[in-house]
Amino acid sequence: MEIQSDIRKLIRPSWLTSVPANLGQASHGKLKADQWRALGTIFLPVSLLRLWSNVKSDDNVLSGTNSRSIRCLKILEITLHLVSAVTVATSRTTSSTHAAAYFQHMLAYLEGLKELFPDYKFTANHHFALHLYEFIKFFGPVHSWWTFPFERVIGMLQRISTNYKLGKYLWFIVR
Amino acid sequence: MVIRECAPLLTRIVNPQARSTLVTDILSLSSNNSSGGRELQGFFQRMSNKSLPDALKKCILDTFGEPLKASLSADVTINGLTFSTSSKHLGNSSILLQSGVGGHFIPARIEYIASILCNDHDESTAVRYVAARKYQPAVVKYDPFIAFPLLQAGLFSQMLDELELYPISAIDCHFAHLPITWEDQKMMVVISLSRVSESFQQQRICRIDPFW
Repeated sequence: MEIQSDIRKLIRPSWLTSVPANLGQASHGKLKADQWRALGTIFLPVSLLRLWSNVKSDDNVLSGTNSRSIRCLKILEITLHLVSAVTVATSRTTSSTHAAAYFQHMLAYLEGLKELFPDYKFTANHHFALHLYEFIKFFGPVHSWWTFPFERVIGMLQRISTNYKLGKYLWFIVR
Repeated sequence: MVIRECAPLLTRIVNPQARSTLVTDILSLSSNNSSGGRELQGFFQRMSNKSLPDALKKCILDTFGEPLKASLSADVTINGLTFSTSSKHLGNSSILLQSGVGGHFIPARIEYIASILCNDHDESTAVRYVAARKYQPAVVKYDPFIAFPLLQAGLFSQMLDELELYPISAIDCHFAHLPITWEDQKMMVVISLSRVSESFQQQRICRIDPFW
């Protein structure tokens, strides 16, 4: 509820990709990749740091009696490692320093994930994510080689009305 | 005259407001660095400094030392992104100004966008400025965002400084902000929407024009 409220209250420019205000409910359907990126790099860091960073000054946490708060803090920490990795990786400028920073943050995120959720089964994408720093070094900023353009063209083709009969339209014109 | 009055409407049809991060990349390809002040030539004839808001007149006087003619507009497009006055769109008026210090940003709010005529008899001398108020820095015991510089986020007060003029080139990017109460004060979380990781700007080795 707090995150939904923050999404509604966040004042942002009109070009910023919108995120459903009822986030978490089935009614908004699946999020697109760019919506995930906006959510992960802009909306969530602001909300999570606001909500969970306060527990640092909580005496219960310092004395180790509130294990839930400590866990929230650790989840916050690894989440921000992931956000930092995405921010660096999607920067319009890049360098070997960017690539190294990306690798450090991604590794810290995955190690944290393993520690906090020992039963979690990693996927091939997690492994691939650790190789991304090589591509950033070799090929430069990801905008020049990521596959969003292909996704957009696929979306455009999917929206074209068709009768699902190959060649019929062309044959009709020729006749 | 009618066409001139309709110019903002026609512009909106030709160049619709982007509603997606990816669309702004495409718009940046077809746009100039700034829409500049030239399209406003001719407007100065009916716009004198007398019709300007008092706060802007004072600001121009303080900056240039003399009252100059100016023409107001509600928005300006830079690299495909639209920057507006706060009365038109608060989100589009939230800008980060270049501080000259890597990783340091100065949030401000655009109050007016003015093309100021430096020479009364030569409209080509018009230069576009934004009149903006900077947000005051937060005075807090603990800022949780400092520990994560790559987020390019921070706490600022909701209080605004005096109106000041800045050239268009001083605008770095937009920012998003969330009003909150922090340590019993009215604050806001500011998060930069720059497409570049500021912390690494000094070590940049290659750059591409936004394409996809």
